[in-house]
Amino acid sequence: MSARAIFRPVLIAAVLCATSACGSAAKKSRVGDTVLTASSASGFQLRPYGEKALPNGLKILYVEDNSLPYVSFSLLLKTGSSSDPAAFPGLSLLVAETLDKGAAKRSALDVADDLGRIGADFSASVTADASTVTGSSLSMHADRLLSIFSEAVMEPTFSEAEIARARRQILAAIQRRVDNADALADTAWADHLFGNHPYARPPLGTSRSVQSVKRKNVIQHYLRHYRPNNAILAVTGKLSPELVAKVERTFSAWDAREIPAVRYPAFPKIDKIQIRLVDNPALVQAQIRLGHKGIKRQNDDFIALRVANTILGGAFASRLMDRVRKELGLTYGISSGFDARLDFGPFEISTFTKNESAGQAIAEILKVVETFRKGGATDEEVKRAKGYLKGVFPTAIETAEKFAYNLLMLRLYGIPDSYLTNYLRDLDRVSTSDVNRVIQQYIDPANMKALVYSSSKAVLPQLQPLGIVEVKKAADFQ
Amino acid sequence: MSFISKTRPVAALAAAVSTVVSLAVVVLAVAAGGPPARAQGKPAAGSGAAPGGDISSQIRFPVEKYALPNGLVVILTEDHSAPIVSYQTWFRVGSKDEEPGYTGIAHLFEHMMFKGAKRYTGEQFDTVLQANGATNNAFTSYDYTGYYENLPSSKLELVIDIESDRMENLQVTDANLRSERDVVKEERRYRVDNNPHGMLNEVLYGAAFRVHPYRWPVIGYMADLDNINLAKSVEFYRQFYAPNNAIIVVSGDFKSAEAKRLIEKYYGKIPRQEIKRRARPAEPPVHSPRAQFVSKDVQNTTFAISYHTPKAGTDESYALDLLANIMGRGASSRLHKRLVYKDQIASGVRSYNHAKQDSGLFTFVVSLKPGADFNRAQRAVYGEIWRPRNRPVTEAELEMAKNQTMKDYVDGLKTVQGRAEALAINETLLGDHTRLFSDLDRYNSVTAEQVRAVAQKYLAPEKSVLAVLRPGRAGARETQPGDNR
Repeated sequence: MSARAIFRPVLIAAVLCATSACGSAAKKSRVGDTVLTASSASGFQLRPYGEKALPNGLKILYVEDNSLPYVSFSLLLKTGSSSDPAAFPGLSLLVAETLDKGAAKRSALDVADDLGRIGADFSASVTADASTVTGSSLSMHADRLLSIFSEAVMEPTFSEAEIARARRQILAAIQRRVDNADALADTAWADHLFGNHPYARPPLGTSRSVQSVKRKNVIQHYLRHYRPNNAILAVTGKLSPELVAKVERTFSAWDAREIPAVRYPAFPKIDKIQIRLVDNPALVQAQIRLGHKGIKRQNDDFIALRVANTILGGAFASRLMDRVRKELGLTYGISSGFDARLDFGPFEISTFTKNESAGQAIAEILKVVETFRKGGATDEEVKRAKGYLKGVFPTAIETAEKFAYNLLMLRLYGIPDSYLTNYLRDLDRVSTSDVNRVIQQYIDPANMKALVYSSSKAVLPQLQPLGIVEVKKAADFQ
Repeated sequence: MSFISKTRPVAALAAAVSTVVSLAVVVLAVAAGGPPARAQGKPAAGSGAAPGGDISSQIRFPVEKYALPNGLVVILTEDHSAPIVSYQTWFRVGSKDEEPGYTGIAHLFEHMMFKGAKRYTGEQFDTVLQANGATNNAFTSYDYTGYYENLPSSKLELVIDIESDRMENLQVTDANLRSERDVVKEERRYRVDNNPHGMLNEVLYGAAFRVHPYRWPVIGYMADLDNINLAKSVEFYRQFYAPNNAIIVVSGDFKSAEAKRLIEKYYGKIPRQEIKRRARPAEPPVHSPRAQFVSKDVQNTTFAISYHTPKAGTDESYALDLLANIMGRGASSRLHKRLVYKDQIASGVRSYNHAKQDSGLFTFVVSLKPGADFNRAQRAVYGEIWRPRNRPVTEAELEMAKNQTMKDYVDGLKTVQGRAEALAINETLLGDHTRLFSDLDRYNSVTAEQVRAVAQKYLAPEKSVLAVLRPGRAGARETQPGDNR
C-alpha cells in the first residue's frame, strides 16, 4: 500500500502455459479428492487447478506447483474498505493488521517467532473491494504454517493492548503519509473524485476514525465479515494429500453467517474541469491525478477498453508518454487506467512534474485526451496494443501464485474462468471501431476532476486558468 | 534507492539490498521440460536439524555459460514451463565508474540507450517491442547497468537484433540528450528531492564514503546532470558499451542451440574494445564515529546507522547477511521487537548488508513515529548493536535467519526474470554465476560464533556512520563529529 509502480497494472491479466511441458502436466491429477483440471481453448492451456466448496461455504482453490519447495495460502475476503462503516473508515485495515497479533493460544510475539522460526511470510492487505491475507513458507513447514495461518484467520485474540498498538501504528502512518507525495495524492484524489461514495474512504482511515474506534467495533467487524461464505482460499505450491486433508478439516470448523450486502450510491456528477489543490509548501514537485468515473469489472467492453487504454497511457509507447515525457520532458512517468471494481471505479491519469510546469502538464494531458477522443485510435495503434496485451498475457499468470491470484480476482468480481481461456480470442476480435466506440463512450476530457498535491504558492496561479480550483491543506488528510 | 530504472521503481530487485549478491535469488530444479524432480524424502520438520540441506538440492537448475571471441559472456538457462523468455544484457559499468562533476552519467546514459540506433530508431524501439508483446526496462546501480526484455518465446531473434544494434550503433543526439536530461531531473525530484527516504540515503552515502565514488548518488547531482554534454555521453558509450564489458543472460522457453546461433550472428562481429576504467581510490576505514544531520519539512525523524563491511562475495558476507536478518528482518527480528513492538517509538526498522563490488555497507534504518524521541531511539539501537558482539545469537535465531534466507531464495527463483537476474548479478559482480547454487550451503554452514565474530569486527562503535533526517527548517545541514551514542 505504500509506493506504487508508476505503471499501475489496471486490469487483471490472465495467464497461461502453452507448451508441451505444460500439456503433459495438464492431464488430470488430484489433490485429496479434488481433481485438478487444465482448461483449454483457443490453442493454449491454463495450468491445472482444482476447486472445492466446503459445507460452510468456503471455496478452496488448489494450484499445484512442484517446481520449487514452497507452499502458500491466500485468503480473499469479499470485504474491503468500501464496507467500512461511515463513522469508521480504516476499520477493515485495522482488523486485517491485528489478525496476527495474537491468535488462539499464541501471543503476538509467539506468532512472530513461530512464523519467523520457519522462515514464513505473513501479510494482510485491504483494497476498496476486498481484504487479502497471505502466508507462505517452504513446503517442509507447511503444517506449521497452516496452524498459524488458520488461527490468525479464525481465532484472532484482538486484545485491547494489541488494538492500541495497531491503532498507534496506523495513526503514525496516516501522519507520515504527508511526506509520501504519491500516497497522499492517491488518498486526496479518491476523496475528491468519489465525494460521499464509499470508494472515497482511505483504506488507512482518518486520524479521527482510527482514534475513536473501539475494540468492540473491531470484533464486530471481524465477526460480520470474516466468514467462510464470504471467503475464497487459494492453496498453492507443493500439495500433499495430507496437507489438503488438513486444510479442509481445519477450515471446516469455521462457522458461516449471513453477510450484509453492500449498496453503492450514485457516482458524483462532474461538471467541466474541477481542480482540487492540496497544499504542502515543502514540495518541489507536483503530484497530479486527472480523471472521472470509470467502469465496473462486470462490463462487456472490458477488453476493448483495455486496448484503448494501452494506446492512451497503459504502456511505455503510448500517446501520453510520447507527448508528456518523450517530447516535452515534463515527467519521468505518466500512465492512465481504468480501475474496474464491483461498483464504478476510477478512470485516472497519473503523473508528476516540477512545480513550475504543473499547469502546462495538465493542459497537455487534456489536449492529448481531447485529440484521442476526437480522432480516435488508428488501425496501427490498435494492432500494436493487441500485440502487446497478447504478449504480456503469459507473464501475468507465469507463476502458480500469480495464476491463483487471477482466479481469486475473477471470483471476487463474478467473472467466469473462461475469461482466461477466451482471452486471446476475445482480444483478437477487438476491432478499431470497437476501440473508437469505447473511447467515445467512456472517456470525456471536457468533464474531469483533477488533483494536484504541491506547493500552493508555486502552482495555484498556473491552475486557475484551467478550471475551478479548490484549495485544501495536507493536514486535512491526516 | 540505489537502483534507478527507466520507467518505474524496481525496488523488488533484491540485489539492491542484498549482500552476498544473491539473497534474492532463485532456482529451479529441473531441466527443461517437465516438472522438476520431486524432492527426495521428507525433511525433518524443524527442531534442530540443520535447516534445508535438502532445499539446496531442490533449487538447482541447469545453466550453460560460454564466451564469444570478442569477450561477450553468455549464460543460457532453459525452462519450458511458460512460453516466455527473459533476455538480460548487463554492462559492468555503474556510478562508481563516473568522474566528479559528471555524476549521474551512467544512469542518464541508460536512458539514452532507448533513443535509437542504426536498425531501430528511438521511436521504433518501443513500438516494435510493444507490437511484439515484449515489455522492457533498465536499471542502473553503483556497479552495473542492466537492460531487459520479457518476451514471447517466438520473438527471441527480434530482441537479439534490437539489443545488438544498440550495443554497437547507438545514435546519441543533442536534442535527445536535452529532453532526456529533463526526464532524469524529474526522476531525481521524485526519488530524492521530494522523498525523505531517498534524501536520507544520499546523505548516508555521502557521509560513509569520502573518497570512493560510492559517495555520490547513482542518479547524480542536479548540477552535474546539467554538465553532461553530447561529447561526454559519446565518450561514455565508447568507453563502456563493448561486448567484452557485457553479460547476456537468456532464461526461459528457448532452445540453446538456436540462441547460440542467433547470438553469434548478431554479436559476433561487434569488435572488442579496450575498457579504460578510472582508478578508484580505496575508501579508508572509519576510525571515529561520523554523524550528519539534515533538517527538512517532514513529519518524523528517520535515521540510518552504517558500518563498512567487506565487498561482495567474501566468506564473511554470509555471516553478515544472517546477522542483518536477525537484527532487522520482519516482526521476529530483535530491532522490530524492541523499537516497534515493545517501545513503540518506531513505525518501521530494517537492517541489511549491501555488499557491492568494492566494499559493503551494513545499515540499520529506523523510521521513528512522529514526535518520538530520537536520542532514546538511538540509544536503543546502539544497545541492540552491542549485544551480538558480546554474546552469540541463539541457535533458534540462527535457524530462523537461515530459514528466512532459504525462503527468500526460493521466492526469487519463481519467474524466468528472477532466475535471469540472479545469474546475472552473480556473474557481473563475482564473475561466477554458480555462486548462486553454492550460497545456500554456505549460509547453512555459518555458526553463531562466526556471527559474533563479524559483529565484533565490523559493528564497532568507533566505526559507525550516522545519518539523520529530522523535522525542521529545510536546508539546514550540519556535521557533528564525536560521540553520537
